[in-house]
Amino acid sequence: MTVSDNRDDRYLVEQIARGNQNAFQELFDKRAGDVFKLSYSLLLDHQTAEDATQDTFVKLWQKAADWKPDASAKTWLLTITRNHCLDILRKRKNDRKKHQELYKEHITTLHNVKTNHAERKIDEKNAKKIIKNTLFELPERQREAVTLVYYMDVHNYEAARIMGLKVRAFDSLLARARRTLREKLVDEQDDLKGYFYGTE
Amino acid sequence: MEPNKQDRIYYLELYGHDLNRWPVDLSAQQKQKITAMPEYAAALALDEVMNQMDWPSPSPNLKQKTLAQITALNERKTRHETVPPALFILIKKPAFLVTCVTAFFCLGLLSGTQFHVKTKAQIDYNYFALGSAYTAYGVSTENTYEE
Repeated sequence: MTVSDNRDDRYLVEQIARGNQNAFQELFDKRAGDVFKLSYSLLLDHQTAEDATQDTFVKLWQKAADWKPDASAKTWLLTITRNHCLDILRKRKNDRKKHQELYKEHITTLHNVKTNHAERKIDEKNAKKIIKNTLFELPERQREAVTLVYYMDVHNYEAARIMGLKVRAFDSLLARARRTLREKLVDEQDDLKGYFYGTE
Repeated sequence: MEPNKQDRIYYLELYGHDLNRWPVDLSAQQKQKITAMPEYAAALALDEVMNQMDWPSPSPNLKQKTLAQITALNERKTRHETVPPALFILIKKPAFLVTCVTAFFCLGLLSGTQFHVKTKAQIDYNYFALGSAYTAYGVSTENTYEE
C-alpha cells in the first residue's frame, strides 16, 4: 500500500462522509475485491462473503463521518469487514446445522481435489486448487493473517491492528502460518516440490 | 544495525522474499548476501506459489446491489428529515418534550379546578333543591313524583 494510495482513500472517505456517491463508487471499485477476499477467507462461502461485502460498504456509507485518520482508511475498512464476518461466524456457530453442512461441503471439495490428483498428473489449474485448499485448511487466524499480508498488500503492523493483536503476536502467527503452508504444500503434492526445490 | 544470519532467516520466514517489506534498511551488499541464501530461494518459491492463488470473485451485480441499498437508505433519511414524525421531534428535542409534559399537567390542574368548582356549585344547587323536599316535619311530597 503506497502513501498516495492512503491519501486517495482518505480523500474518498472524507467525500463519502459528505454524502458523495461518486466517491463511494470509486472506493467500492478500488477496495471491494479486498473486502470480498477477506470475507471469503473467513466465511468460506461465496454468497455469505458477498453479503458481508455489501453490508461492509453500507456500514462504511453510514459511518464514514466517524472515521478518525489515526489509521489508514483501508485498515479501517478491513477492520469493519473482519468484525462483521466474526459476527456472522458467531451466529453461524449458534446455527450448528448450517455450519456443519458448509464444513462438510468444504471437506468434500478438498477430498475430491486430492483424489483427482492421485489419478492424474497435476496441471496448472489443479495446482491453483491445491494452493487454495491448502490455504483454506489453515486454522482461521492463520488463514486471516496470510490473506491480509499476501493478498491485500497490508503490512504486518497494520494487519496486527486489524486483527487486534500486538505486532509480535501477529508476527509469530504469520511465521507459523507460512511454515504450515510450506509443509502442507510439499507433503500433500509431490509435484509442487518442484516449486520449492527447483525440480520437475 | 546489520541483521545477522539468524535475523535474516527470521525475516525471510516472516516477510518473505520481498526485501522492501523488511523492517530494516539493507545495503546492496546485504541484499546480495540474502538472495544467495537457500532460505531465500525457499521463501521466493512459497511466495510464487501463493501468488498463483485463484480467488473467487464477487458477482458483477454486487456494486449495483450495494448502490441500490445506499440510495434506499438516502431516501429514507431524506423522508425523516423533511416530514419527521411527532415522536421523532420529541426524542430529538428534550426541551420541547419537557414543555409538552408541563403544559399537559398545567392544563390538567386547571381543568380539574374548574371541574371541582362546577361540581361544588351543582351540589349546592342540589342541596337547596332538596332542601324544599326535606322539612322539619319529614319528607315533603311536593317534589316527589306521583302517578
